[in-house]
Amino acid sequence: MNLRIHTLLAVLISSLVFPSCTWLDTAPEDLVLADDALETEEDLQALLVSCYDVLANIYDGDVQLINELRGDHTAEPRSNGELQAIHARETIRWNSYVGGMNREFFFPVLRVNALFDAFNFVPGIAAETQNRMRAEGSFIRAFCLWGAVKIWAQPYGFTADNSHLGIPLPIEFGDNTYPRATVAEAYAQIESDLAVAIEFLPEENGVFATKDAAKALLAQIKFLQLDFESAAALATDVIASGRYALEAPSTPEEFLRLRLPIGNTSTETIFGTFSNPDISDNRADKFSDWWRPTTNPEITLDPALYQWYTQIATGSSEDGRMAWLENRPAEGQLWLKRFSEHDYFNVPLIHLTQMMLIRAEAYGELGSNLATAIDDINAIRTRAGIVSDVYLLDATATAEDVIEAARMEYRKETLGMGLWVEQLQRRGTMGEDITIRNAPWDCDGMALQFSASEGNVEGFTFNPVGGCN
Amino acid sequence: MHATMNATMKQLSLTLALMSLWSLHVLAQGTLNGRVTDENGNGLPSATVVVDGGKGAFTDLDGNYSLTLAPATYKVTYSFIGFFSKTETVQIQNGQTATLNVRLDEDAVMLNESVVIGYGVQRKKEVTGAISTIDSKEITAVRTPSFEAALQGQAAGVQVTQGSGMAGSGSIIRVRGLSSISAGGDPLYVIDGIPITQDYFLGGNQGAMNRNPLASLNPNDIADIQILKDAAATGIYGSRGANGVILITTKRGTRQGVQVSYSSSLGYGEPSARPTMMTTEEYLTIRQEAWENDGGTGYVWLPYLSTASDSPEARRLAYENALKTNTDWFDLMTRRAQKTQQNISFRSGGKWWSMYNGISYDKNESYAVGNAYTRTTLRTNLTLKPLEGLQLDVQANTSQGVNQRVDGGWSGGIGAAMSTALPYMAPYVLDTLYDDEGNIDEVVRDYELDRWGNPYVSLVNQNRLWRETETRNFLTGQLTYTPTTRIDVILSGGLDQSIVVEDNWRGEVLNQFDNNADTRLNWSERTSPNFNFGGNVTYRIQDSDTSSMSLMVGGEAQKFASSGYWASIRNVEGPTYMVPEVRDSIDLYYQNSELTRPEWIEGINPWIDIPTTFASTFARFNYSLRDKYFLQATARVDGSSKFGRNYRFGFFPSVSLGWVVSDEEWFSSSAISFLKVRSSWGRTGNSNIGGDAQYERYADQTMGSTYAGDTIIYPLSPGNPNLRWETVQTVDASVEMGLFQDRVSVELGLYNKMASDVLMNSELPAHTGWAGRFINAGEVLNRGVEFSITSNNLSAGRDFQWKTTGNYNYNYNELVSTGGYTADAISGGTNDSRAVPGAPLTTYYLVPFSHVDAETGLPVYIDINGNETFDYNLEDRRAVGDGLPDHIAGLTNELRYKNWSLSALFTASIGAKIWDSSAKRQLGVVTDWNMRTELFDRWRQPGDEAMFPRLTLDETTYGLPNGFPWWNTSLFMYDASYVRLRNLNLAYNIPMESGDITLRVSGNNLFALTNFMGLDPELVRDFENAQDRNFSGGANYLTAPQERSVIFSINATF
Repeated sequence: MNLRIHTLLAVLISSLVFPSCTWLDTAPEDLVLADDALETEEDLQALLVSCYDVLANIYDGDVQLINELRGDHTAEPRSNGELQAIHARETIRWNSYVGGMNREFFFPVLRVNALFDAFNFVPGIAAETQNRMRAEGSFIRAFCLWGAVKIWAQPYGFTADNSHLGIPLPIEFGDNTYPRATVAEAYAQIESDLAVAIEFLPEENGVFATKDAAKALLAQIKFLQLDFESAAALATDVIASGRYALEAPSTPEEFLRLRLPIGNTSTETIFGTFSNPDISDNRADKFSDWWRPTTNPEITLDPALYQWYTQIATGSSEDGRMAWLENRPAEGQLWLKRFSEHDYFNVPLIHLTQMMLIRAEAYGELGSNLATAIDDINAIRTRAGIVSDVYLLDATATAEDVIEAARMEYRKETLGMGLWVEQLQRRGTMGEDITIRNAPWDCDGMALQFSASEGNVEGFTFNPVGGCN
Repeated sequence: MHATMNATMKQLSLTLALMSLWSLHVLAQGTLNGRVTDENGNGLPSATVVVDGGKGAFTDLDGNYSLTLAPATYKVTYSFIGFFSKTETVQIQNGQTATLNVRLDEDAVMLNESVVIGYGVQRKKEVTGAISTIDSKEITAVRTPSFEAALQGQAAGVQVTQGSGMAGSGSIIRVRGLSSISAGGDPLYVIDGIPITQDYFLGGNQGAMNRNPLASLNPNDIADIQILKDAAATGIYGSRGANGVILITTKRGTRQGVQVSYSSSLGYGEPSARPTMMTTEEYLTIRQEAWENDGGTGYVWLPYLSTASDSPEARRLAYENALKTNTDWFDLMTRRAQKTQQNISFRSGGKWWSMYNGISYDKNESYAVGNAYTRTTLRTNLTLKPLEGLQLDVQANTSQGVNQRVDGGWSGGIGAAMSTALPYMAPYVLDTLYDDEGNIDEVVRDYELDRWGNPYVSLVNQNRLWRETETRNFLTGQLTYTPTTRIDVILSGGLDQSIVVEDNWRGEVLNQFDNNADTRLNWSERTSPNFNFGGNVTYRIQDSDTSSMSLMVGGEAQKFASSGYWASIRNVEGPTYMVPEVRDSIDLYYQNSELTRPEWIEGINPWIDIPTTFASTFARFNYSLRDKYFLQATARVDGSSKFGRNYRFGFFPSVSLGWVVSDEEWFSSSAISFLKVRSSWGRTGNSNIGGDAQYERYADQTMGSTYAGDTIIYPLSPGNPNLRWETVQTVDASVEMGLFQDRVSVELGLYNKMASDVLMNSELPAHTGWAGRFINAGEVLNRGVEFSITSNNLSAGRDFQWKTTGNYNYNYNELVSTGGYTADAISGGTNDSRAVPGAPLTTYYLVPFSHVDAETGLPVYIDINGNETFDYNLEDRRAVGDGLPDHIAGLTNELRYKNWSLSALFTASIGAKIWDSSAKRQLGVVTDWNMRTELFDRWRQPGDEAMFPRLTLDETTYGLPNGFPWWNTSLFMYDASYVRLRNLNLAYNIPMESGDITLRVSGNNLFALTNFMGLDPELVRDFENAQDRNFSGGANYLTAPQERSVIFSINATF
């Protein structure tokens, strides 16, 4: 009896005391774990495409709006307090719109870092493919870091050596945290990435980044760095490639679609994002959300801009781009109709007219190649429908005339795309007396506040809240 | 005294063994009968009746007994576990029947009471851990939305914050403070030995309410509840014992015969408090004043009626039009709720079996119009003893809880009645419709949904049908084999399955602005099975008369899973419980994904949940020396699938000692009849997080995302392969005393709980690209004193009796460290509570408010240097208070006079603060919310001393940042201390020939003494996740008040 009892006990105890370890291996079938996610070249390509995907999500009108609100084009937002705070240049850590954008800018950076890390353990990727992927990743990382540093830091040139604080530079895969690098360091990283991109990107790459896109991006950066020679040279490279041409709109409807096609790529677009109405994939929805001129749009233009168009800007009476505006003096509002007439469009992020106008202004600053600059400006004005000679630069135009005209056209061409405020800031760094809605170009608050999450770890330096009105 | 009692027990055993021999004799010449009852007059079944000389009997189910005796004078001793024995003298005469009814008094110390502990039972005297016991009477005495709320005030060190008055709402229970940050801080619930599913967030946070996983349990099925508090008690539950363990034992059958119990109740409920919302005239006055303070002229613009840019004349017309309506929205959205409950149970048994059957129906309307929780339960507990030494226990329970949901809080309903529903807006206006000939065709109600979110519309005409149905099935069993008196072998297993189906249907009126659908239905079903099986072996050794020891070794495995799917449906006539074919279609297309779905089924998607498993091995060693020195050691190794391989297993030991000082020969005291000291040390854990925290996860093409026609893969969460158990080291020292012949029992305990490796779901800085991840970083201290007393003040055979029970707990809570993260890294959702090292958990992190400047009427704040300032700067935020009480207490007094009884339970909570987040708009900047009349105490002119500053429509007046109207200042943090009459209970007991009937009227939450400037100082709002639940227990956001109820009931036992 005792023997049986003890045997029974031994069996019971051993079965209970040593439960199977496999019981605890509940690797969930529905989850994609890191070890399984990235195993092949196709996986890495999918990871790379996801970087474009998130880039398209943040440049769907949101980033463009933030930069317009920092500039001098928009009236105060109608009701959205967080947008009003940007407009007032008084953002705080808890502005969820700004903080959300702050976080989203680093999603592509994380993914690019993951891609580069995966090169270490995913076998069988040809060197050429890896170089192309690395180049595309570098381009996207540069694009995002540059986009972020322009919003969350004072501009390049704010200090003589650019030692003022920029943004964190997370360029290793992981969850390490970083302090803010200086603006000089940020630009060095961006240029380093673009060097890789320019070297290895293909000239043709569908809707994805090309060698031209990298050069065009670097041209813009050099322009802001006041390196006009490099900016002009890079822009010339892109223009001379022959792969881009000005569109030729003739009706108001066609002007409303200028560079905003759906179903194909604009001949002017050097790099942009892609929407697909067939599957309700809209990567431009925020443009229409914010600007839609229905009964009460959230965002309208500053009515003073209409005065600029009609009283200062050249050739507005003939300018087809005036179709983008709807002046409503009774309401005291100026509506931007450019984006809201379409449910879907592909968003241009870098385009030909930018290159032409950067080159033109750079030549103006350099005092050289003015004929080319004049041709660029006139080509854009002509494309806009301006035919009267009086509105076109003649061959005797001075460098100052060229600069003024290039700036004017740049402002018109990029209206609503969030590209004007950085030009104002650049001119500020050049010593011009620039005010943006009655506040200095470099006042506190022009650099938006970082997400509150940045303060979760000790040691992060926030921007001054500002409030420069 | 106890030595005497032991001797009595031995004598009783001997006597009972000889009973059968006595029955052979037919010498009886007289009869003694009677009834043995408790102090309430309830019959005590199986009480022992022993006559000097050896003859004895047990009482039956109703406490009746009968003995045949030879004529003589006898001393008869009556005894029952948990009560003082009583001896009476009776004379038996030939051929006559003597009747002797005896009422036994409760023994406050109850040394021989059996106490359920983890994986076993123990004599109370031997218990070396901190355990509180609550019996069924205390659980059912208070009518609550869910049974756990009835624990409030019943046990020292157990803080129960009852949920709002919404039907089925849950409570927050904290045992000896709060140790967890992001992992669940609730105790582990174990029913009949099986840890149950208790996830408050399986249903998310819909309608500003979390689903309560305990609501479907029938309190009438509960026999008693043990709350394990210190490491000695909870250590055997190892990784899941850190927040305490609540052991629930359901009722069992009886030894013989049949006992039927029936109870029925009817009552009503209403809000315990009503908000002080303004009337139209008051609101317009306030708004006009704010407008003028801001420099406005003419009439102020009114939300929904005019705009700031309207002409002065248009604003005037709107103002005058507004004055024509005055809607009391809270009154409109609430009612006097009806409550009804029916219970019937059968307890039966024989020599080899016993059974309990219980059926209940409970319909509990809340005071919110349209809201009710209906629970139907059926339980069978069966015990079989087919062979000597073999026992099989099976418990089966099925219940269905149907919650008719309504919106609340931020989601509308009563919340809207306290915010966005302005008094000048009517629930509807009458529109006259004309036919083609211009005659009045029809007068219809226009709910004006095109202008505003009218909360009334959801409540009428079945415009909104929202039902959540939980079917909960428990099946548990234990097989106990006792081959010898020294060995018990127990195998156990159980299934706890929850199936929740939710229908949320919006009719045409509510859906009129949806361009794609006339009606909409959001439907979901989630099935959550929880399997548990294990066993243990206990080996007892009795070395000598003076010492004994036992060793229990066991193992346990558990698997929890949850799966299901949800569907978006449009253009159907109603929810699936009204239109079953909709459900059929959902199932068809979910199970056959290759079929092309009809357009009205917009989407069907699975819930993706991660199963979790536990595997555990445990042991407990007990040693008893001379029945006065006790040693217990426990050890448990737990493995969990929630943690990475490197840290998958955790070791959780405990050791405890007990010494019955009063049993020492040298001990002598006339006042102290029992004295025991005990102490324990142990380590327990907490793993109450989701199953995916350890994994670095990606999203891939299976989630359907593409860009430009290409599939995408991207990282979702960083994971943490080093994630491990949160551990709590607890030291406990306690004294138990019986005073004045054990008429008074007292327990005093000290504890120190230090939690380390506390699980934190830390938000990562934006530049990492990650949202957040779980880490082990925090340290939390809880240190406290708890005290409980039971005193039979007047008893022992008097018509008038008075018993007092009370408990008290002081707890000090401190977040010692967050591992280098700043206060903002861990927050309580939207509730402005933060993890501030050096301050308690649930700390509110706000800009300190000083006063209203008498000259300007502007708010004055305290900056980070302690100086007064007009500048509102969020960098000046600091810890200003917290939601954890310092002191909690419960006090029950029971008075009895003959068959009448009156009891009153008072509960108290002192030291907690409430952060009234919704007061920012009810008492702050004038916005499009209605406001509270407390705002009348505002500054109006220089020299005014006021509570609130000058009124304004512009947040920048108070220094708030542009576009940031959320005024996070301590102006809206209030003392939440209260003393509440939790329950008042008047009963009359009618003794019957067999059984008894009790008539009862009870009032719950009748009043509260508090300085809180708001609805109710006891509140539980809705939460986003466990971290929010831990941090925001004292935060209010349009939270519905508690319910005050009066219940009439009848209880009959036959």
